[in-house]
Amino acid sequence: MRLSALVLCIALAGCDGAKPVLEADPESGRLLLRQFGCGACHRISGVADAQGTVGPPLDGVRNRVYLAGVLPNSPDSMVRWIRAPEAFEPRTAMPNLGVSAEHARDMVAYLYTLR
Amino acid sequence: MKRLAALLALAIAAAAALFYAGVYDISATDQHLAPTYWLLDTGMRRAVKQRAARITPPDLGQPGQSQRGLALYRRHCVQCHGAPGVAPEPFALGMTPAPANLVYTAREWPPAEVFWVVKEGIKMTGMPAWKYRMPDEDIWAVVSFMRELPRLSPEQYRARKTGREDPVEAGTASAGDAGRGRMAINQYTCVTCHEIPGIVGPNAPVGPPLKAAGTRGFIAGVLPNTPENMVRWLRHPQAVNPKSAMPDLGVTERDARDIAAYLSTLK
Repeated sequence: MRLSALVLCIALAGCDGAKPVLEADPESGRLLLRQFGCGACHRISGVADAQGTVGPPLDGVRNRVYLAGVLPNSPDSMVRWIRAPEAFEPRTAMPNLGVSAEHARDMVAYLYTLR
Repeated sequence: MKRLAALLALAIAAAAALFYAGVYDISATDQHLAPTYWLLDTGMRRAVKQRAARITPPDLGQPGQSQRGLALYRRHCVQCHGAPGVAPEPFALGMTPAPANLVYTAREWPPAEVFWVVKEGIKMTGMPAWKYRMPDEDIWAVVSFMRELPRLSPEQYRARKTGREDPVEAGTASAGDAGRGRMAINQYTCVTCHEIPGIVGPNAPVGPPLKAAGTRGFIAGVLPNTPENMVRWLRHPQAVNPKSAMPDLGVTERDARDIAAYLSTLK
């Protein structure tokens, strides 16, 4: 398990051996992003079938300054955005998928590895 | 011959090493080396001359023209260039190259060259292009006023009346299409916040990347991505989403259409 995470890190060349953000589990996040169907709307490297073009591509999202153009980006704010997008932008096309705090943290941990 | 080639390769490698090591001081407080300044300045003068050669100035003594030029000058030029007895604003004093004193420029440069510089701007100098902000008649009005500058005392400059006080902020357009939109994208500095294929610049990830913008489902997550909606969004983002970090850049209807046309080509 640890080895596979390491291999993933190297393959993505994204985490530079750094600790995952939020001390969450990026590998679990990767699987969750698939389970919640995020790829239907977003392009996400490493997530199977995640080729959606409805919303913005999420590769390199850790460098993006704003989320949805309104929320300054940080791991914490991304968790809040994933859990309740409509709280920040009532008309957003992004649905509230009922993601738990723990799951959202894992997803963010994975998304933050993407270059 | 072989030795010469080796020497040349060595010189290029040394130059590349110095370049990459960051030896050249790019700070605005450090003046250019004299040869660098000469190279840049001469290159700029030659480039302007070449391009302005094709421009024929209209009559620059039309009634009211220089008054309008003065109004525009006070609104858009004096902040950096100053005027007789008027210093540039503090921010302009910190610029390298320092904005030219136009009293001198007006005496030395032919009107067509001044017109070209005002219209097209000059890369890496801080001189903006006014092409997308002023119609040609207004730029000629500025040139017309500038011709009078060297003959004005500070007192006369202060006393000059401007006449009509409503300079046009934006307007003018020639042919409209995706190609023109690509130029307009540069002029509204979109690339300082978005990654945009085909545009050279910082491509900073402040907002979402616009690669494949033509196939994106939603604009700003709220508007279905149609050309009409894109124009709406580009012109007044806050009318769509008051909380958006995307600023209202005063994009004209025409420019917004052209920009939307360019973005729609990105697949």
